[in-house]
Order: sequence, then structure tokens, then C-alpha cells
Amino acid sequence: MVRMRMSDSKLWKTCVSAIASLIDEAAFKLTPEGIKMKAMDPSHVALVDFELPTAAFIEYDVKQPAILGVDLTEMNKIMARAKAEDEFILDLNEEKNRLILTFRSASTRRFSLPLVDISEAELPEPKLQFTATADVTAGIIQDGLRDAEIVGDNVKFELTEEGFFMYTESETGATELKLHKGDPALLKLNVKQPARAMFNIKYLIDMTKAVGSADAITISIGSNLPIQLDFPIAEGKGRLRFLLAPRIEAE
Amino acid sequence: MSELFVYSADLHIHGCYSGATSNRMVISTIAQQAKLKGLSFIGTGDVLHPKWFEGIKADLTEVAEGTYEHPRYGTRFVLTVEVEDKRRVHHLFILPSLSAVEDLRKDLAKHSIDMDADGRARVELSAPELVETATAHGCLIGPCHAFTPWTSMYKEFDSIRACYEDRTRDIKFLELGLSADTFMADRIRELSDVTFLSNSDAHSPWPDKLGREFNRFALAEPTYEEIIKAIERRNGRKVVLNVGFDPRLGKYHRSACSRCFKQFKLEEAKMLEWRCDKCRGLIKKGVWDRVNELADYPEPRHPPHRPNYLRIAPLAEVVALAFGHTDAHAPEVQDLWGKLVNRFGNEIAVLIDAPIDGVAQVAGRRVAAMVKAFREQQLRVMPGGGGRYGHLEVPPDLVEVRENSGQKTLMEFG
Repeated sequence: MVRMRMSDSKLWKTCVSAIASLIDEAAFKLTPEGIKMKAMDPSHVALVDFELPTAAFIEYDVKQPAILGVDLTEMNKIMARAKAEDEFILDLNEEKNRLILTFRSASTRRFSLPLVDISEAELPEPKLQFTATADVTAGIIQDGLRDAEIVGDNVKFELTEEGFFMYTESETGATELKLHKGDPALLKLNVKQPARAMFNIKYLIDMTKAVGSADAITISIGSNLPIQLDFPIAEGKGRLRFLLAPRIEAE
Repeated sequence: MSELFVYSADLHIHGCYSGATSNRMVISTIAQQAKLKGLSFIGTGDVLHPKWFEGIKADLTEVAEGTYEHPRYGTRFVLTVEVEDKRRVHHLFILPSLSAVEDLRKDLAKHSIDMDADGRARVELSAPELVETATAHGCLIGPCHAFTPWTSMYKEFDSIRACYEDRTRDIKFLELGLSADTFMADRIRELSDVTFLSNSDAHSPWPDKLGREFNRFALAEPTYEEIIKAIERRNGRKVVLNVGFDPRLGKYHRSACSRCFKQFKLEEAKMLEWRCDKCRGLIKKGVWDRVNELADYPEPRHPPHRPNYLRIAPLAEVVALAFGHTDAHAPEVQDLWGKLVNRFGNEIAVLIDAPIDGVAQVAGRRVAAMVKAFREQQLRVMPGGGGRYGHLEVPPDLVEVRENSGQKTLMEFG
């Protein structure tokens, strides 16, 4: 028996949308404590780490651990049909090896999604010594990335004692975004050692889809290390974390 | 003998009236996309469907007997249709004229209840009966995707003779299908005299589908009559190259569950009586295993007339891989695909011939590195099966590709 019920579809919809932009398929691990999923994109540049404990659901019934292989592209298409006010229910039809997704509001709508066999991929456990972290209002980052996209493919993130900075430079122009210590959108700043690294903008745009513009993103970086982005989900009960490998600047 | 020229042709597609096809599969879009793909000829597909047939007559101009041209894009068409017989075996018809379409339609309609409903006609006739009807109307006929597990000749019969009986001599071609190639099919002795065709069976017009497999013909002129001569290998006309998927990318290459796609070795599948041990879904026999069952030779023995088979992958998938996407339809991928094809003429030129520096100038170093990796067979092919396509992956040890682009991988921080 597997059944998960959420009071609305928004959380699952935004998470699936962000994850599906990076990977096509994922193995969700279900235990009586909650649901977990960790996967890497095919080019091994990005990793997603997703976790929702039972507290994030209004009903959660998983008696035995189970692994559900999901075609995220298909699930994303289904979730795109959900309305914000829809109650969302996920059931497993074990006999037919299918997930049943139900949206319930004025009417009850059901979608059936075949499970897929996913081979266990070996995932790296990067050992990362981040030297700087900051909590930033998501809308600021999203705007900064949209600005940067106009002129280039890559964006530099920099954290110093003075604040948080984003820069993009290319033959067609340059952009910068500055948040100084004390600015209201820079919610927290902790710098052991100033750090700077460059990342692909498109990946970051896809990742930041999952967060509302008023929420906070926790950014962790170290010089030329991958960036870690943590999003608060389900009022802080769950975890959606992305890791993105850096691009190294040509000398 | 007349001077011969090379023309590329994809002779098996489906229009928008066939099941599970894109509503963009209309004549003008097909003609436009075929040009971008470098194809001179397309098989119309579905010619027995009344609406599709009307569209062909309205949108194309007859330029030679059995040869039709799109007035804007110059793409030429020959009349083709896929027909399913009473044993659920699919056959490709190549028809000589519009009047032959009407006559064939009248004859087959007596044995079909859905000829108006679906572009892929189903008729209650056996394969030999279909051949008899086809030849009576001057059509060429042969098996489609001959090794696949749902609707092919070899899923139903152990030999071409068992399928077509006393009409076997009329079978001049066999369509390999996406999951097989010449190297596999030439392990079967009875196919040595048959011309192999590599066609896309496309259900949508986008470049990773239309022309994903095609044939290069040596013809005196681009007409139906010359194509028939080439398939029959008459007067020096012939297929000079089959171009198609690495068969591992096909969706029926390996034996696999048709529900959850778990792959099985042949012995395992037999032991499980063709039921998946994970989800109880039906295991479908892969083309690889089926060819091994049918093979007379451990290694391919190519007859002298057999052209080379060039294994390719869709360029859009190679470009997508360079960005870490698996979606070949992503806007940035399609944009770069368009730029590369405009610069080098067609997709094959980019995949096989274009200088890597030139590719880099158009699409950046990362795409160029991926095209180079494809040419050097460094990309890992994850085989398909059970109805799911195989796909390409960048092996973790292909670090230099990433270093060329400056993009690190997470594996480097493990």
C-alpha cells in the first residue's frame, strides 16, 4: 500500500518541474519516514537531492520501503494539468505497476503513469569545503540570472565580507548584481573566506524554478567548487538541494 | 550507361491521419523539414487514406510518372503505404501512380473495415495474397521493420519463405528497422539477394525523427522509375549507402519488459516465460536476440551488391548531450541544429564530414567536442528495448571533452 496526499498540488508540481528540467527519470525511495530522491543529470554536471518527510503530507501511508522509477518528463506533463487549488493524491497500483495521480477540487481527475525500470546509478558524494554561505531572496537571484542570460552563457558568483555579487561578461556586454551587507534581500551572510566561481546560467535558471520569488535560497560556494543551492520546501520540513559543477575560466 | 547521381530518400513515414502521429505531419511541413535534412525524396506514407490522398493531390505536382514534387521546397515524393496483414505483419507498398492507388484501394477495401479510419490500413489478407494484389497493380512490396517484436515478418515467421510462400520471388526489398542494421541482417543467408532499405517510419516531422534513417540511391534522375530500378538493382541503379541508427538506439534492440523496460537476456526471458519478474509486464523479444536465433553465420557475410551501412545518431541528440539535456526538442538545441544545418547543408555533413573547427565556430566548442566524440565512437550507447529508445551518454572518463569547454563535472569533486 502506498498513498500520499497533499493539501495542494503546488509543491509537487514546482519540484517536479525543476527536477525534470535536469533529468528524465528518477528513482524515488519511499520509506515509512518519507520520500527521498537523489539523481544526477546525464552529463554529470548537476545533482538534485530531494527529501520530503511524512510531515509534509496530510496523509502518508507507506508500510514497506519501495522504489518507484518515474519518467519525470511524463509526470511533469501530468502535473502541468494540476490547478493550484487541487488536492493532490499519489497512489501506487502495485498489480499494474503504475502510479495513479489524482487532482481533486470541483471535480476528481485521475492520471495513470507506468513505472519504469531504472538501474541504480553510482552517484558521487562530493567532498566540498564551502567557505562562504548566504541566504538571499529568491526573486533577486532569479532576476539576476535573467539579466545575465541576455549577455552570456555563464555567471560568476562572489561572496565576500562586503556582500553577494553576480557578474556576467561576454563580447556582447556585461551585467552585474550587487547585494551589500545590510541590504534587506541579503538575509544572512557568513564568509570564512571570500569565494568566487562561475556557473552555467541555464542550469541555474532551471534549478531556481522550484522556489517562489519571496522565499530564501541558501547559497554555498568555495572558490572554483560546485555551488550548492538549498530551497526551503514544505515550510522547511523538506529539502530540495541542487549541486552544480563550476566552469573554469580560461586563463 | 547514363551518368548517375546520388539522391537521399526516406521511403516510410506516416501522415497525421495515422495513429499516434503528430498533427504537424502534413505535406508542406514534411517537404520543408526533408529539405533541411538533405533528403531529395520522401515516401508519402498512408496513401490509401482518402484525406491524405486528397492532400497529396492538392499539395504536390506530378513531375514524372509516379513522381510528385512540392512546388515551394522542391522535395520529391513517391507514393507509399504501410499495410498490416491478417497475421499483424506490416508491409511497405511503393505505388506507380495515382490511378494505381485508387485501384489498389478498391481491392483492399473489400478486406478491410478501417481503411478510412487510419492511414496504416489493416486488411484480412495473408502476406502472399497481399503480394499478389500489389503486383497486380504494379506495386513493389516488402516487409517493414522486419525484426521487431510486435508487427514484423520475423516476429511471426522464421523465414521470408514461410511468410510470403510462393510469392517470395516478388520480394525485392526488406526494411531493416531502427533496431537492426546490415551487419546484423547479413548474418541470415536467405536475405543475401534482398535489397535492404533503411527508412525512418517517422511519426513527426522534426529532425530527430524524419529521415533519422534513409537510403542514398544512385539514379540517372530523381524519379519513381529510377528508384524502382535501384531497389531491383537494374541498369546500374542501386542503393549506394544505408544510413541509420546505431541499432542499439532502436526501441526494440534488446529483449525487455514492455511495461517497465527492464532488460533481460534471452535465457532469462525464456525462464520467466516472457513475463517480467518485476512488474509482470510482457517481455518483448529484442531484435538482437531474434537475429541471433535466425542467424546462419556468426559474423555478417555481405553479398557483393550490399552497400555500406553508416551508423548515425540524430544530430539534435548529440547537440543536446553537449548541454547536458536529453531533450532534443529544447529550443536552444533546435536553434543550434538549425545553424549547423544551414552552415553545412545537411545533418549528415555535420555529423560526419564538417571540420570540427567549423562546427565550433557555428555552435561552440562544447558541441564540437561532442560531435568529435561521436565520430570517434567515444559516446556510450545505452541500448533500447521493450519500446523505449536507447540513448547516448557521455562516459565519465571523457573528461577532456568537458575540459575543452571549461565545464567541470561533479565526478571531479568526488
